[in-house]
Amino acid sequence: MLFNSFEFLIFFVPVYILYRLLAHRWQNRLLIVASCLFYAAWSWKFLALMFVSVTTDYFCARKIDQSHEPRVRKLFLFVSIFVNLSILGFFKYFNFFAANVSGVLDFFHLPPMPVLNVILPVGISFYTFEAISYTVDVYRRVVKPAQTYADYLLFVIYFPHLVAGPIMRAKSFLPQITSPRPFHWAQFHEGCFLFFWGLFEKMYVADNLAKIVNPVFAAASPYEGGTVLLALYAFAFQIFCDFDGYSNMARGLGKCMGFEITINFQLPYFATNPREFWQRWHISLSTWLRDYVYIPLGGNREGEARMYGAIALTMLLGGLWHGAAWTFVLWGVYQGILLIAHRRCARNSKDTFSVFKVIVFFHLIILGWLLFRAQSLDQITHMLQAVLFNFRVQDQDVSLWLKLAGFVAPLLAIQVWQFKTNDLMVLYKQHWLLKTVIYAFMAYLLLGWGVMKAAEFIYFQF
Amino acid sequence: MRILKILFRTTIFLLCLEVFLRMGGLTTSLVQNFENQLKLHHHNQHAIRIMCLGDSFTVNGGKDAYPEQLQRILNENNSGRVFEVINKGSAISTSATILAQFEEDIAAYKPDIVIVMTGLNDTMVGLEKASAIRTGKMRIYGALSILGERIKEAMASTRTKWMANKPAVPKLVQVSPQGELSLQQHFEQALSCQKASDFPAMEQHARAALSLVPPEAMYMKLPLYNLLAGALFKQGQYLQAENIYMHLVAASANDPNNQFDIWGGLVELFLAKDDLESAKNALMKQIQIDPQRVGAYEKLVHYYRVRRQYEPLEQFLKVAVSAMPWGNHRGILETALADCMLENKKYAQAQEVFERIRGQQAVTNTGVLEHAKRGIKLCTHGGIVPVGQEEYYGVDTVDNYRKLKTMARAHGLTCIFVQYPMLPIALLKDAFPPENGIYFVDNGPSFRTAVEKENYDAYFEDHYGVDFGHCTPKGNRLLAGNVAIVIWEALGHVI
Repeated sequence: MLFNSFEFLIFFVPVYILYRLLAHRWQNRLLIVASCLFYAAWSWKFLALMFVSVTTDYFCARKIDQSHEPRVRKLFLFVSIFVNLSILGFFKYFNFFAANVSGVLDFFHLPPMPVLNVILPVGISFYTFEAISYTVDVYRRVVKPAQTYADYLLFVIYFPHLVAGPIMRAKSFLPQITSPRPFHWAQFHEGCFLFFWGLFEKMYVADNLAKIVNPVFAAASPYEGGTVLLALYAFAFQIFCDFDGYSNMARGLGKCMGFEITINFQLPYFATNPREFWQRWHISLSTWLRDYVYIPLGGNREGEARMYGAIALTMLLGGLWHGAAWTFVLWGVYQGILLIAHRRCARNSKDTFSVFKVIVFFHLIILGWLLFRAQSLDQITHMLQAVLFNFRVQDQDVSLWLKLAGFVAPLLAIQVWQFKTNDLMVLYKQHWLLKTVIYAFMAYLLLGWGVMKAAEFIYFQF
Repeated sequence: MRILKILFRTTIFLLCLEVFLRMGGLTTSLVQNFENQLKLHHHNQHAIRIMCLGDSFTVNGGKDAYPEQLQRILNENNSGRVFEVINKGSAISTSATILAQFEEDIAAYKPDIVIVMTGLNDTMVGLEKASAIRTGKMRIYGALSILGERIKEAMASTRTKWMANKPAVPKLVQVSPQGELSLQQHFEQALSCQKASDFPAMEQHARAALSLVPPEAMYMKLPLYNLLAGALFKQGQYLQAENIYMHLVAASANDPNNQFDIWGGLVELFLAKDDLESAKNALMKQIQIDPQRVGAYEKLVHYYRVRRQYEPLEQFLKVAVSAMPWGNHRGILETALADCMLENKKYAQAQEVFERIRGQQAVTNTGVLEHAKRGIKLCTHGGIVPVGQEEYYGVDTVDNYRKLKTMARAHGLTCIFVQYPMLPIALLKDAFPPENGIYFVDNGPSFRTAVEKENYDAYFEDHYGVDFGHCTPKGNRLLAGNVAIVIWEALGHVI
């Protein structure tokens, strides 16, 4: 079920009404049932798979906490990580692995690996990572394990963040599950605002930009440089709005129910360097990678060479996490190179803000998006060639550039305002009359140009 | 207190939204008028002014909309004449709204030629009202009612989905050693090749599957041979296909289900060979096996209709229905009979058949009954359009076209009525006796050929009209070209 669908509306409204009528423990049970239904609307079978992960991790975490033997603790930690990574590895990466191995076997004239017809379960990358963070945190004694199976189940399966994050940490989320969540008007209000803003980002900006981006990437070469550039600008905002929109809708739904879900994006395109970018983009994933990959690999405590290696490997894994294709790996490697280069070159300079830096860095980011979005390595080369050598100013379709401006301008206006006031909720805090006029204008844009057919979130099957 | 505050603020929100909707609409029409006025400003005394009226199909495309392209095509022709083409298309207009605005538009722009392409929105259920919002015709109530409709739709589809008890469970894993397919997989591949119209591959898979049938399961060969015969037929190998079919008929004497399908395949094959007698016989066999299923009759009806051979079709259908007991299936065939009579201009007889259908208790299919009701209406109007096409053209549409013609001719204007791509011109043309000053543009053949040669997406952006959609710039160019040809013809007569 997608948030921007009428199906979701008729699911959520009765669930929410019932939720507010129940007492705390029953609220949790209701949320578990609702979340199961929500996921089952996509597939019952894969709901069972999720239960396998949840059950394994629950028991492993309890064993880790109860035992004092380092070897036993390590063993259960290993079991939990192994189960989660196996599930992820099999369902997400088997075909990628098989295709590449077959390529090598073919080179040696050996029979290829069998091809499996594996479906990628929705949200698998998110819930397996969340599960791993839980068991590792229990192992590190950062958090106590969940008291009941139901509590842990809700932690993983809570439907607003189930399919595309944010990846929540047990330390912040479990206490919210176990404590009562009384109704507060202000919180409910903020939740509604966040949901509406997320919907606007998704339906007006992201889905309309997709219509500009998709034909360009679906076409075969040769490409025209200006068209490629236009598509890249459009994609940069499409992927941001798609994901930030979803995260905002998740946060909004959470707030309505009394949960505080972590912020996932902090105006990432205002970053002036890679390090800042990763502090602002997909925050729950980047912090996960930092805490569970980068730091265990040594982080920056074991010397420069080791640090660069850790960065490279972390970003490579980060790229691979996004999808089973070489273009994603390449994107991850590129991000790693940017981070390493920044560390070396900007070691002694101050990170001051300037619009020029923002623009330059933005273009470095969209080069990364080219790697991310392209259908194949071939397409990357052809498109780069087009931008560098085949840019024809006179052939530009002005109306398409105006369209891009039309969709991005309202978003940018709000974002500049948010940046200048350093407050993501600045619109929410305005005088009610001004807010009402702005909301009405956004509703007008949504009614007139909002893409009504629920298009899937880009990150849906990650 | 809080409730009052919420209500008050919601009211302000709705008022603001209404203001934006109206401002949006006003802006759109101001811009359009401004652009058209710019053209008037350069009015050349000897220029020929053309006004294009229509709906979103006329307005779609910005500088590549068909009127704009038409102007370029006409002016590129070095004929010495200058053309101005005004685009007065409006996204959600119907033939009625165009008629209502007609006098005003003529007075404002004083055209020499009027081009009209309308009718699609007249009978469209579930009109894309989003476009209405941009022209400011949408009002809050309208927007809320659409939201209500969408919610109802979603509730109905969710109910069906959950009650059908068949959640879409994807296949978990399906292992196959690389390169070798099982019998089942060959069969499935043959079916998917059939869907994809890849008949040589379909033949290969059918043959491969046949070779894998185990001796104790000979019954499995029948559906496979059916597929093989179908594949051969589609590749033009009629003799081989017919042979297989005839053998199958003999082999499946005890299997009426299979026989039914085999006779269906034979009907198609005989029609392809123009062997009408055999086709009719095969269809009768189908009806004899199962009068409750009407299968291949559609192919026969289509065959006759396309060749306008109404008499033989009528005779055959009369025989066919007499072999069937009354029920929904006979209702469907009787409908085909009535339609045939209607197209043959036998209005009284057609009306009789339609009334017979409506009078039958055993006919419960609402589609059939509605069709009959509309058919009776058309018969009483002198049968303006074939009943089967009424999804696109209502009686009112053609009436409105007639009124437009009368008004235009009263002003001494030349009328050009344009049919949508892929739709038959007969729907429009047959409603008018031959007359000076009226011309028709048939977009059917050119678009069909073009789409066959290239693909649908090169010419159409969507499926708004089911078989066609809003045109891409390329599609609009083709349309404009077709209109230009008719304009030259018209000018040859006028001047």
